[in-house]
Amino acid sequence: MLEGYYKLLDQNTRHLLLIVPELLVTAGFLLGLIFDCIAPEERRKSTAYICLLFLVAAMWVNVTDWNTFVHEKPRLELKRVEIPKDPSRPVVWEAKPVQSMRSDTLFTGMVARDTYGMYFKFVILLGTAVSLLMALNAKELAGNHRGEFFLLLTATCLGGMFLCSATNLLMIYLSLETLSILSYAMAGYLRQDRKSAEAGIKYAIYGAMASGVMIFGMSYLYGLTGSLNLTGPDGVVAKWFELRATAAPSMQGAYLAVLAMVFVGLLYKIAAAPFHYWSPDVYEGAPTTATGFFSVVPKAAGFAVLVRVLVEFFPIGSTAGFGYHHSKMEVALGAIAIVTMTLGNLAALGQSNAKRMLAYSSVAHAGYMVAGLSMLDDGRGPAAVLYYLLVYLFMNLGAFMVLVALENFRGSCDLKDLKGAIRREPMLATTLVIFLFSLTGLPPLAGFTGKYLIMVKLAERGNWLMVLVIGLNSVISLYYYMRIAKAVAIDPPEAAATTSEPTPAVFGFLAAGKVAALVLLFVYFKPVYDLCMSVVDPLR
Amino acid sequence: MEFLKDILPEWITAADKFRPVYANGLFLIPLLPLLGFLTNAVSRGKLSAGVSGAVASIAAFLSFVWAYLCFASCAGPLASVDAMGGIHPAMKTVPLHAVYGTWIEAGGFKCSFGLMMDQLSGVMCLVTGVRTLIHIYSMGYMAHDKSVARYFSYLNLFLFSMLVLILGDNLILTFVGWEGVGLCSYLLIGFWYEDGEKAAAGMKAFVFNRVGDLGFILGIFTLVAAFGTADYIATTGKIGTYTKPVVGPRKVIEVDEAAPEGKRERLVVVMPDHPGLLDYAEGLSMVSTADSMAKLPLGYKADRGNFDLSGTMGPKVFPAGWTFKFAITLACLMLFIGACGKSAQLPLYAWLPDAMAGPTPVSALIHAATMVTAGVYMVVRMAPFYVMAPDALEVVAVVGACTALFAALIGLTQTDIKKVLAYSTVSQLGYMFLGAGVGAFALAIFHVVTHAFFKALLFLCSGSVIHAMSGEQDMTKMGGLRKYLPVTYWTMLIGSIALAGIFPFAGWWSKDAILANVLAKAEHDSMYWILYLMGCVGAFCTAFYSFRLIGLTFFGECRASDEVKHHIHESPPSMTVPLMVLAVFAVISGWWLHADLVTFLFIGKEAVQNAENEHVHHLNLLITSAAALGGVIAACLIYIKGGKIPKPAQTRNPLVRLSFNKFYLEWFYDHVVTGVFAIFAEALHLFVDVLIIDFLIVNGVGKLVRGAGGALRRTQSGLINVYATGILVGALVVLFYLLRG
Repeated sequence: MLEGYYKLLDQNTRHLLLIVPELLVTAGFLLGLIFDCIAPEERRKSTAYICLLFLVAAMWVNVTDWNTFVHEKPRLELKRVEIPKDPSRPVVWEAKPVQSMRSDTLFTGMVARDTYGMYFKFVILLGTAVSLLMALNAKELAGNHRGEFFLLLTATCLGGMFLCSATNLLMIYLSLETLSILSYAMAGYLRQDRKSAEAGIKYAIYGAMASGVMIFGMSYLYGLTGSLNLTGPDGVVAKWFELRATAAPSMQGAYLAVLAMVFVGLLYKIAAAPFHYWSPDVYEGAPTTATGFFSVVPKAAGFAVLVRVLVEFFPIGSTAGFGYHHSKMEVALGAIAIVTMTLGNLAALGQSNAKRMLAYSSVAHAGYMVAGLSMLDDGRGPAAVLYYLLVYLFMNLGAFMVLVALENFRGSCDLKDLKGAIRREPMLATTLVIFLFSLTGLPPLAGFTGKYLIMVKLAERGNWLMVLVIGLNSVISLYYYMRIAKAVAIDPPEAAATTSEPTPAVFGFLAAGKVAALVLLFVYFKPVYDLCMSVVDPLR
Repeated sequence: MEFLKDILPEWITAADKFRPVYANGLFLIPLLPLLGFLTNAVSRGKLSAGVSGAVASIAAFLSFVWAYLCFASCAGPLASVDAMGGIHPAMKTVPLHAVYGTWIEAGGFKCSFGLMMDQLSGVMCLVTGVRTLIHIYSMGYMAHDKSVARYFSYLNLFLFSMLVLILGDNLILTFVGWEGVGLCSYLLIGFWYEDGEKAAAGMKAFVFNRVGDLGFILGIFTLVAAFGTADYIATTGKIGTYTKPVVGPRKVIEVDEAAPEGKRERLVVVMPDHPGLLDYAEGLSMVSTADSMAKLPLGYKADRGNFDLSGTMGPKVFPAGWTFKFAITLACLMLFIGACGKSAQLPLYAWLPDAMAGPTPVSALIHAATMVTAGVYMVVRMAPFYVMAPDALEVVAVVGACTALFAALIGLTQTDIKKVLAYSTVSQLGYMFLGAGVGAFALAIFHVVTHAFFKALLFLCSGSVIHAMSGEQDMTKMGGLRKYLPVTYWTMLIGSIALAGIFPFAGWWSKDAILANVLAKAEHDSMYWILYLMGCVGAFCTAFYSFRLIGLTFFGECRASDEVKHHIHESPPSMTVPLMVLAVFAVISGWWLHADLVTFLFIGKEAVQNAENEHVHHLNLLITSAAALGGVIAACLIYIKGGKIPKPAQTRNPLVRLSFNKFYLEWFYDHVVTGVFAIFAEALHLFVDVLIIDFLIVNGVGKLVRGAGGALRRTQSGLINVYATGILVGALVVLFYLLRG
């Protein structure tokens, strides 16, 4: 008994060495926390630098980790070969040498060590690092407590990182809650601002509701399968398949329904319709920096876990035998995608506040990405989503960042206040227009490639309806994006600047970097897309 | 063309050793003018006129030098080629070829950034060498203009586009250059855009070219659909920079074990990997005779060798039953429409005379060295296809002959010095197409080369005249300039003799050879007698108007106003030196190149054999010389000796009026064609724009969308219970769908 315990302890200790990026972020968070408590008030800005340092270190370790991981030797892996229709016959397993990268499950199946997780960790770390730099220079956050905001960002990032690689129901729930609860705090960070407080409360209420439904579904899954681990021969997925293979036809839907409840929690996180209601209110009320962060990092983490769970239950490419459920799920996701993007874009049309407009637009973008997930016949749909997320990080965070910079001297994100901002900040305003072009999906920017890859995949499946819907939605979105661009770049200024402080140079550098990234991702989309393919591939 | 090599030191042309260097370095040829363009474009207005001119000229010159070195290295056959088992049969030597990266990859279609220099593109590159002289001349001519940097940046961009057109290793890259040339001609013709008429001339050029471009694009589509590639020749498939010389399609005798005795050996065509368009053309002509070609269906796959077109789009795109012959004929006709637009053939010629609105060096550049010859280049590049489409070739010949005569007739009565030269260019281009149309592709290029020299010379001379006459272009107001502008007079006289086609000047060698080929063809097909006749009448007219020009400009009394007369002066050396250089070439280039160039260019051999028919040759010599001399003598009698000053605007002679008014063809365009289009456009505007787009789509959908947006916004009330209900309903709908079974 005790021996087994020691063995487990030993194994877990060794596994700690394989989650160095997470440990680094934790260390950064803790050191920052201590520093923030003991440092004199005027030096508390440095909390951000400590966090940043560790985030960058984590990013670096993540990349080197990836490198060593990819070059490890292939190993034997158990694969389901066949799930018989006849319950009396055993499920056939086969040990195959796999070049696969997912066989590493750490901590007795809590998290997976695979390139898929590493890809998302990279996206999340990058998003957080950029958000930190934004927070550091955002005037709305200025004050003695801004250190807390940096720490909240870092800790949220940690939750996101675990969520990307979680393969255990409890782990998924825990990291999702870490991500969410810290986000609530960030949304309500501006205590004096009524809207911010409202955003925090609303976020918390809907979050609780969605997690409630999700954990309800999870408890069913646990009850059905007796396991919390998703993968492995005794895992939730394998058992679920076995049970379903033997279940009566009338009960088949129930198995899907249980899954659907789990997906509610995940779809809530990515703000897909009809679980998107929280996002415009929260995005508008929260500090702009936090909004930018919310629209990228938790969303990326949400997509990471959504795709992972989805692909576990609806294996890519193995439509034989599961064709019926596959198509059912594809239709459901497709419908959600259409509703999400259309709702998001239509609602954005009439907004007069740039932040709220971008909030709705991020709902619409979630719709585009879900559209990519609605094709599970091969890895190209999900891979396109992965690519889109990376692009989306640059363009959306870029747009929000410029808004933060403009808000610094214009006081708000209302379109009427932003008018003529180009006179004061020609370069930043120009990059904003570029980000908006990319969000619309115009070449030669990567936003185009992202949409293109999804639409090509849809067209190959013959799903012309969705291609058409995405095309029309892009046209609608052009209208409101250009309203922002027009206000910023063409209209004469109406409001006077509230401050004459110069805009920090870091905004300029970051904006230029993001524009360069968008152009590069457009030109060299193939290598990145191939990488995404290779990342999704082992999930089969 | 061995002499090109001979004048260089041996270590430069140690071809096999340096081939990769030259091949990889091909990109330098277009890059240098591009850098010149960027320098002038970025530093607009900050460089002095001299510096920006020097930058542009040096860029053009270096590019020419590099092109020359590359050309010299691929001019001779390689020793190592035989070891590889043969060379590309369509090209007697191995082209330099470098692929720099993938450009388009969609479905099974792939297109890369690659440059290729074979004999044809090499010769064309050298022809654009005249550009350096034009650049230098421009430094003098444009010295007083206020936006010199803009001028030179356009000039360099023009060169860049032309070089991409020539060197591109696939049709699509050629098309990029093609469009670039069109754009630059628009910019340069409308260079003095404050003058509405000049800006309109630029637009006219652009619009006419657009009509042709549509044909060109359709031609490319047809070929890509039928053959699945846009490359000219096989690439090694790997994207590196330097691609090894590729062995073209070749016939191999294969022993068939299963066949009955006596028939065991059979001929198999082996294609290279990733064949290009020209490989397919070559292969098609090998696998089939003229008769069986007509029956070969699209998507054909030979049972041996990798002659496989079954994966192409042809069978899907085209109606069932289409054969390769049909598709190729269609593609050739479409490509020729493109060539008509760019090379100003009937009926798309009208832009070129108006293009005289640009600065005179630009006219020289457009007319002689670059743009208009692009059409000829493209037709010659596609020659293996044209050979397989005799019907299309006939169309080329007829259009060429008609244009040659038509434009020459108009040229007889024009009084604007540049207009005469412009119509002469149109007419000479007609001769080039006539040559290509009778299968003498190499002679067409030969005429491009000689024409480049003497036409550039004539334009630059006319520029010098106009410069001296303070901008006056009307020949009826000139006269007697011989004593004021001696250098210009002598050089222009040389140019005119060359244009008229008097032995042994440049024009004679090429034009005479083309007509000899037409005559040789006429012995088999009587239709060509008519074309030959048209060509000879055209030759007479050419000689006549070129000496009419000399007579009106340089002889007789000076008819200019006193003020203008006072200012008449010979041009500065930066203008006269290029004239003299060009004059030398206008004298010797025909004699110098005639033996080499024609045998050097591919397929030329066949054409030369035609012309070597003694009897045809002598007959032709007699007729064309009589026509040319007759024209010269007639013009001399009337305008030099008789001192006649034409007043075509007032004349009552219906023939003169017809010629002076360009046969009313432009009137027809302006009123009938434009009118029909205007009615059509108005109807479309009312129906599509106003009704469908504005009313229904833009406003209608816009209102609908905004309304829907407004309604949706109301659901976002901020009330928690409303949201919760929404979530619940949504979740229930999804659950219901999944639970239903």
